[in-house]
Amino acid sequence: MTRAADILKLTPAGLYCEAGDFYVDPLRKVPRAVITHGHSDHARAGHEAVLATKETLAVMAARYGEKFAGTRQALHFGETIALASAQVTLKPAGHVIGSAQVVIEVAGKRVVVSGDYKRARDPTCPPFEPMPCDIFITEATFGLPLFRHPPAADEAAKLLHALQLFPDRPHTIGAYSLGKAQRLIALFREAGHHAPIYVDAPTSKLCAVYVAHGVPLGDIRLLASTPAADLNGAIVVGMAELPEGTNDPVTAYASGWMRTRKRARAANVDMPLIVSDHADWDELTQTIEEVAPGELWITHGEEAALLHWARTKGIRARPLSIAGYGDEEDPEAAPSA
Amino acid sequence: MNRLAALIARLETLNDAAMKEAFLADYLSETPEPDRTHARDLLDGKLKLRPAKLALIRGLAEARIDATLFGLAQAYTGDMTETIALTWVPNRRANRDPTLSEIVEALATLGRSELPKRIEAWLDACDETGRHVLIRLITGTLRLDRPREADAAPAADTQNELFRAAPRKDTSGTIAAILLYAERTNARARTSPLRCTFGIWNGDTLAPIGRCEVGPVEAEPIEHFIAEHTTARFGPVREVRHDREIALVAELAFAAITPTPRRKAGLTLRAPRLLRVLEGAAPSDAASLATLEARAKGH
Ligand SMILES: [Zn+2]
Ligand SMILES: [Zn+2]
Repeated sequence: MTRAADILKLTPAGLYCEAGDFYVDPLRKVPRAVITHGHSDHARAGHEAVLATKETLAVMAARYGEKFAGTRQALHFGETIALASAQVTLKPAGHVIGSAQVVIEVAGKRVVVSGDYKRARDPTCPPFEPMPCDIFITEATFGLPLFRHPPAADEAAKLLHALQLFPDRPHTIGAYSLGKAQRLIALFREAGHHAPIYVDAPTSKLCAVYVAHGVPLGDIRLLASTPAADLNGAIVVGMAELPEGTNDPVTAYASGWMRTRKRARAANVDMPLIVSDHADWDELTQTIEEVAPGELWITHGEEAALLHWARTKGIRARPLSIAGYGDEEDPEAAPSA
Repeated sequence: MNRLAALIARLETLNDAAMKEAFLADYLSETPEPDRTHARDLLDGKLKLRPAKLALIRGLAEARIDATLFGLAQAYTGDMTETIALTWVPNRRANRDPTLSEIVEALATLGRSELPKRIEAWLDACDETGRHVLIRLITGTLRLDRPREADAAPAADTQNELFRAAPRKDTSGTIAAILLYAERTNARARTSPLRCTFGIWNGDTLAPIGRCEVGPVEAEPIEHFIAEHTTARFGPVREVRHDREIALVAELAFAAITPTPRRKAGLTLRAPRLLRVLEGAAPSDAASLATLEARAKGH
């Protein structure tokens, strides 16, 4: 008789499923890894075999090179594969392109690993699908009741408004190269901004992955090969510096952490924009209520409030402190002073 | 209120006086009287209100949220006004947020017993930024004299009636302070001057007290420190390690000590500049807020 709590166990290399002999988002090189999404704290190079959505595999190849793993296998959303005595299905997580929840079923018991997720609208990836389960393993990056992200389109509109006020200045937006950058670009396009948008090299590579997988981003150009004068009045997305000779820029930075005044000031930009690819407090609690798990495990982020909330709702909950998530390219998940 | 609050939040993050002017002009051009006059008065520090107590608003907030969750949120922000503004969940959506004129008039005319209900309705009708500015406004903690007090004051700025500076007695001197953040002043050039934010000890934490630009040559030891001890990046800004074990200590000269009640330290250095990096100095060698306070009083 399998207990749901025995399906996954926490090891130094990360969450391990014994019945299927695989790890989910392992922190070290392992023989077999199921990867939720391409952020570097979840998707590391060097595993012997990787199972993920085709979009996530493409992201890994773009970042780490074609030899990022010994072998790889793509799974469509909703498709189920048998790994030894475990059934594995990937369901959309709504976080970035290809991002998936990993649904693991063993002997009639179901565990869902959310990976990173959000519920807010994102034109660049399919929405999160809640899956009822025995154990739901959730992230809690913004797990405090003070984090409520405004509609991302409203934040994008603020930047476009500044562009109207300062039509001769470059508008630079600090945004992560995977996910945040493309979501913002897509929102600008939806708002009717069709001019070229300039990006740095890492962002450009990932934009190409989005476009190749059917997410249109319009006229995207590489910052490095652009004359300074062309950047005046243009939007520049990424972390790269502007070339010499442009007008003074309007600077923005897009992150869910921009909600608090302290962090917004520390960003030291003209326009902190509250845009996140992680669930806010309302999305976390709404999701847990919809999934209605027998038990809730909380991986990374601000877990104390969510634990308390779950217990007041009669949901059994425990923290899973996994050191190593949220400390690399997905720095939204890494709270710092 | 929401539009005005968004403007105020924007003015607080902007560095560039021309950009502040443009955002302000844009706001005023879309704001009808009598709100426009009220907004001008508010931004000039001339709007006088009979303030409400934060305890009253806190009571309204605490009645709506689980005490543990409220406490965890407060522990995170460290700012009761912000905690209330951000954790407040509107009961019902009003069809519009209150205008500044409505708020000014209500505060002048409403009796003590009518006030809580009205404030509650306002908080329900505002968004997060609106609530935050509203609470600061009605508790008398919204101070808009100079949005970037830690900066050396450029002459053009002082002419701007929005951001007038108060006269000061001579409190110039030098101080040992700790580097908190560094940012390249010209985001395009790798060797441009650094804009450095320094802090001094306030108990076990560091309170920011001033920002200054450091030329590329003097910045060299700072560049090394940044390369080895960056703890976070926010756009062009690098946060560096600053704790009891490892921190960069530097000697700063300044023209005066300015009281800035709106800021955490309560004091900022006027026109600070870097004299030298104190190589080998321990973090505990940096000054404390108590010392600076004593010097501000002329001791
Ligand atoms: Zn992620
Ligand atoms: Zn993550």
